[in-house]
Amino acid sequence: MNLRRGRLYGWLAASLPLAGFLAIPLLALALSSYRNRVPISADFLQAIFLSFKTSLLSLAVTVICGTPLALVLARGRFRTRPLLSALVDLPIALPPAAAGIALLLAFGRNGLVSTSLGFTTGAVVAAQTFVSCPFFIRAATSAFESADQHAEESAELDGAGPLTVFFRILVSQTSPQLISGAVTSWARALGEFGATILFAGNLVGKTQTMPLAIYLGFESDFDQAVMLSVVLLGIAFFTILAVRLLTFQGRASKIGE
Amino acid sequence: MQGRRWFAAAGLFVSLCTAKGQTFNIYAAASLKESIKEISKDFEKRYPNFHVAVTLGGSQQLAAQIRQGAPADVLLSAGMEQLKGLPYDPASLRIFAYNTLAIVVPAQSTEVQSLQDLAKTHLLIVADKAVPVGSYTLQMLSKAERKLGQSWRARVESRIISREHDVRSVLAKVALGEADAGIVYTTDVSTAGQRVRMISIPDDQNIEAAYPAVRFTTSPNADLAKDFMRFLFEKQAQKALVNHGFSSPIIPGGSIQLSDHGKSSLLTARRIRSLPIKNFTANEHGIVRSFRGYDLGFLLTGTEKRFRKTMVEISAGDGYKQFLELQDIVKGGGYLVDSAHDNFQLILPSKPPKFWVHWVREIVIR
Repeated sequence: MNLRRGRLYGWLAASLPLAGFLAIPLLALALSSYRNRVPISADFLQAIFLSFKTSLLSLAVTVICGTPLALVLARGRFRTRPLLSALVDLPIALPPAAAGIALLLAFGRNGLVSTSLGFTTGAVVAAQTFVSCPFFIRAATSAFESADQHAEESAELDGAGPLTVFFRILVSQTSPQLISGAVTSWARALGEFGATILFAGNLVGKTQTMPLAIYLGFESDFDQAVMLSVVLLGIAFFTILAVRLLTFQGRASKIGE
Repeated sequence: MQGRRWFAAAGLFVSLCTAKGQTFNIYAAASLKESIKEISKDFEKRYPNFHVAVTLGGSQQLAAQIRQGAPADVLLSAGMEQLKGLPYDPASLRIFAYNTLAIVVPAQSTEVQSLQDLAKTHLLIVADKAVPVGSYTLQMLSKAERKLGQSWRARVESRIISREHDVRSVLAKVALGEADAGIVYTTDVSTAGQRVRMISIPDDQNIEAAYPAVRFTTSPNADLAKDFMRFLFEKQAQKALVNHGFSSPIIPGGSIQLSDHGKSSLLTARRIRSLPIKNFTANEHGIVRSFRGYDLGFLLTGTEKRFRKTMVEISAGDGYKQFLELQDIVKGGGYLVDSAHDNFQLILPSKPPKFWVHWVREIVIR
């Protein structure tokens, strides 16, 4: 039920403090970057490029490997399901620095599963995937749970294979939620800092993503750090906004049908 | 009843916590962690009404926080570069400790035995150049490059897998065995215990990291900050630093370098003590005190006749410099007074204490 116009204003007034609290720091960043405009240095450009590369790669890993996991969590009936579900949520509660230490102890050179992943671009992708995948899996699980199963059953009766049913019916039916989950997960990966600096270290062009460059820039080159923060902010804002608009439209048109 | 007793206990706890009126804020470089803990505790004993709080971090990180308004009273930095643009009193700047660099390797590793072997490693971790230890590392590599060659330097640079944001995270990653070697301060190595081994860097290729302390003009505890700056050079504090591997600007004391129009000679403690000894009085902040010191004027008299307006530059162990006219020392009297560890303080009875120099290291006549 939508809020009536009269009530809307009341609730709007009540939500202003938090909305302002969220908006003011962002405004301060934008103002500071406007007052002290500096061209973005080559190192920082590399950080922007690297951040896109790694966050998109981690998104790909998350979507490809996370979708089956979400389906299992939504539709599977087995005893250890709550355990698996809790495991998936755990990285959200874990401080990213703890996640970084855990990744080092697990996949470091002397780790439980010894790999040479540490301090490489791969380590950045691993750290980002570790902390961001729960957001997609959560969204996909609840989407699959709430999807209308009758359509799938009818398609199966008509002789459609399981993959066809999955892609043509389930995925297309739940795509707004899946996309929204993917965007949240990608945004979390883009902002990842704690696990990355511990597991992947900090090397320009190889493991120094935007958040790391901003953190070190705060100490050595403040204006650049502000510029980069605004770039990060702008990209994230417009991407999230675009996706929200698209999915809102999707929902609206469905209601109209 | 039970509830009320709890309430009273909680009230007592709160009042105990707030009884210690003001807070004195010391910001200190991460590498000072162990020694500053001892120093701040001793300082707190002297001022029981104050709560002494220590904030540790990379010096560049602390500087950035102070630039954004963090309430620091004093800053103990690992480098000079990081002080740029901070609202400190330039007259308060003193070097209170020195440090050097060392290579650390995981305890069981045998690959690296010398600085030269750094080129043999596959995974080398250093600190970022914004961090003091990172910029010292670059200076050290440039120095070593002159001896070991450009190709050695290039190979070492190519082995760097991460530039960390403070020295302790370099150490932690080496201690975990995730890197083959790291470059840290000599004083850091012992904090990692048995997990790492230290490889020394030869003196002629090493650097001397000078740690400056400054007091902020914005500090609400100006007098306390002044006293802390003095406290840093007292025996107790300097001993704590030396015990943790730092070099002290005042321990051991000893000789003074004397340079007279380019001709230099060394004044050993013995030579100074062979100068005529005199009793004199001087006004120290309103109190007339008597001293006993060696007559520096006697030593410099020979030069006085040649130039009337000769300037003398006096440098101290803590980096302090004072400019005087030769006349002031010869006519007004200048005495070297014994202080701890074979150090000498130059006292000028004709001038106020701000002209006197503690821990004299060098006298240049020009």
